[in-house]
Amino acid sequence: MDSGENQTMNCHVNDALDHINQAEHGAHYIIIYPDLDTLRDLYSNYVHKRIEQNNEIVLINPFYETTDAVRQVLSEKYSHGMDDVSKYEKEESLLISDSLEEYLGDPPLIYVKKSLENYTKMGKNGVSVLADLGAYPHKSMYKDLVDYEISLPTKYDMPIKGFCLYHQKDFDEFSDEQKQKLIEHHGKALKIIETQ
Amino acid sequence: MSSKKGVILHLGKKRSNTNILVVDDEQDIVNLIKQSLEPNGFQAYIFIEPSAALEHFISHSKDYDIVISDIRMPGMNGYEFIRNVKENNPKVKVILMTAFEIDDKEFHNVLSDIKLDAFLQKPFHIQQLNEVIEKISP
Repeated sequence: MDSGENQTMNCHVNDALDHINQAEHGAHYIIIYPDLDTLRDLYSNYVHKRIEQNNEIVLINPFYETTDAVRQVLSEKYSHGMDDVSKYEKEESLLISDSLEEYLGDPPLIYVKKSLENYTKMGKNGVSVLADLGAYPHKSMYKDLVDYEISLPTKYDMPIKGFCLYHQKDFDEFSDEQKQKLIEHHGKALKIIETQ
Repeated sequence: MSSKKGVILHLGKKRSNTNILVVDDEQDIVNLIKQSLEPNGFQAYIFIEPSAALEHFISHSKDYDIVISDIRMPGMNGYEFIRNVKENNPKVKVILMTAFEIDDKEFHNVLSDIKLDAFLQKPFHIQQLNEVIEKISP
């Protein structure tokens, strides 16, 4: 069984950043990252640009770091550090919530729904979601994750960009058939190569 | 030999024989733990990949006294890691650490039959870590 990995684009973090910056509304990508530092590099640059230049709501759902750690990483991108992060969170153009609560909480998807309900009222162009789906592998819910991903469209019919983030070590735990399903079901599959 | 000196020698011997395996997916964290334990005479062996740590532990299970593991790690979570560790050496002392709130239900479901010797809530102070190790060290 082909694991679908020949359909993924191997790229460095800056190339992956170009891909997601160029993504149009409706995009649903899978991004496989090698380590947390690389992921931080990716999301901090993306969020900075989206919020300041593109007038979007950005939702981040980390799993292997706390929401406070994400705030700290983001603050390093802004001239006023944590004050800027707090300002964006207060005006709700930036939402940060733990992946376990967002995807496996009761009720789930609180922030996704909230951002989709609010973006027009807030005068925003749309919503970007960067979701680390590590919460599912953490609970050995591999099949549930594949089923969840397949329940979503390959391309959204609304102004949302969904970037599903998988740590390489988590992705390795799926069967070849599951990997193929995951890759084929996303509009684009990016595998970020470790930079030495 | 004075009794005072004897105590010091005894402590030194005890500590130098305490081998600790540490696993956390963040290199900075394991480095920091190693740096804080070794000046106190403990031998710390650090890993950032639980599968590599487990493979090493299985080959050297009798050499270890204490295992410290993070909970949220890619590829294998801390609960699964600790369960495997205990299966290979039931006598080893285990410490879990996390920066997140513990899900009691999950914790009891996964580790109901395993005795956890200590728990560290991140961020913790180096002194706190050393106190916990001193307390459970054989």
